[in-house]
Amino acid sequence: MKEYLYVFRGGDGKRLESSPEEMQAHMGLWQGWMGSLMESGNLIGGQPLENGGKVVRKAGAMITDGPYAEGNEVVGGYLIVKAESMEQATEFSKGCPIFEHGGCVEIRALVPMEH
Amino acid sequence: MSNSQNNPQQVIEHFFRQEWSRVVSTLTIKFGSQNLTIVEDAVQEALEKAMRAWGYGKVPENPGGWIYNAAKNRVIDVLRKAHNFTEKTPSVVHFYGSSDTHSKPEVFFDTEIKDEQLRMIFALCDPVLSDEQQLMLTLKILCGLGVREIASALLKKNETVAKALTRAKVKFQSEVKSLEIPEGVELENRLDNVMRVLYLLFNEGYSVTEGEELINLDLMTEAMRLGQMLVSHKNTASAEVHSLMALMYFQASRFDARHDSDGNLLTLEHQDRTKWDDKLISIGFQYLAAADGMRQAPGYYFIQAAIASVHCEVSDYALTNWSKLLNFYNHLQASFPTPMGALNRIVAFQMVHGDKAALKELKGLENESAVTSHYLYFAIRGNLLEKLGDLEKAKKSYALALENTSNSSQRRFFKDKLLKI
Repeated sequence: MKEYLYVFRGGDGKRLESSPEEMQAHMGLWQGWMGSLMESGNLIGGQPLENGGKVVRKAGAMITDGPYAEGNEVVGGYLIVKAESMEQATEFSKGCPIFEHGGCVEIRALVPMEH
Repeated sequence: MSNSQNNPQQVIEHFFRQEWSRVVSTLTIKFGSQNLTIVEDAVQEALEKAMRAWGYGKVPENPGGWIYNAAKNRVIDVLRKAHNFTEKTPSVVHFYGSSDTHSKPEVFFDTEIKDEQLRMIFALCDPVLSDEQQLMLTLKILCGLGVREIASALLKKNETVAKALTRAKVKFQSEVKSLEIPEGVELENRLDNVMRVLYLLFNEGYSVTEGEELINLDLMTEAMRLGQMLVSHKNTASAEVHSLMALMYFQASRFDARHDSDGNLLTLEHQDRTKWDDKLISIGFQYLAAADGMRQAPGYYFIQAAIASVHCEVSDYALTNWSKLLNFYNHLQASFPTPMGALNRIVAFQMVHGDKAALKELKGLENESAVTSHYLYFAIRGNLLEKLGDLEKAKKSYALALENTSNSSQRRFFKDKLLKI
């Protein structure tokens, strides 16, 4: 089994237009999706990110507020999963509710560290 | 890194919507009506954040407090920036409270929460706002519906609703100053407005059979929930408020029976009464008894509820107590005349005094154009003429009834009549 990082990008616009009822329903989808990854033993962990932040360059000579990506593709959270292969990790991601809001999942394999 | 080992704690159904109503009301009262939009944006953001964070599986122990604090801190931040205040200005911190995210969540008692929402209903029903604006703002702020949901409930376009809401909010922010429950005569007048908006809200849910049935049911439930608040507050628990609750419960009991499989509304005569909800009916009777016990002059909702109760008493249309019903309609028309009331009164009159007398009574309405433009006028006239054997005139009436309704089940009925005569 290898470890993969899911980076969740975009979907903010749609999220902010949603009604309270729609938001609660959408949250339920995430809980369901994460729950199934947890049940199958593929979920390692992850967290959502706050909207604001800083970008530090040149050892602090240049510090700017976000955003840190072009257009709507701001990173909103991440997840680490276990999977047999990139193909399987890709397969898992297809159930991610972010697509409902027009966002995307970027999948990156973690380089295993020697212990 | 959070590990989602624990079972995800769930929030109750409609939690976000209820929090929206609670937090927007509380913060608008705290920061003033002029900041409604800022408050709404802050609550929207707080809910969005909750949605993303809790979607990972962990819901905090006090989710309501979490949302309230996130939204309150956001409002304070925005106001600070808007007023060009700095973090160091102690008077501002003092005035707005601390935006420290680690501060203890404010705890509300149930009665306080209800008071805030009650105060908000009265503010939203301020007479400077038009009827439509009052209804829309109530749907948005107190029922927590989004633009799309309001559009679906009112059968309007999304853009129309969005524009109307923006205008209503501008007006609310600039012209509604007092967010207190009024007193004395002012309370009476405003309470009339509040009841009218609640009944409108209820009827939007009850009478619309297109679109999303769930939203319709939600509107009715919301109207009843807000009505319940009026009943539980000592200043607003009038006989009319109790009567309105009775009326809504009686009508709600027929929700599942109110339309046919094509979505056409059915009149009481054609509803399957086994589908009526007995539990809701008995609650309706309790409210009606409470209103009656207050011994006030019968108001509009009291008479309407009394009329509805007559139908709820019996399991079959044929068993209706018509003389009792006619008596209530006489009261209604004497004090609060409407075209629909006049026509329904004729039906009861016919059952008590016979076809001939009823036709004569109906003639008395001939010159009221609001009555004679209604399909029901021609339907009743056709029925009376048919029974009295004047088939030619009956046919003409049924043809006019057909012309004046778009309800396909009714149209079928009249077409059938025209063929058979």
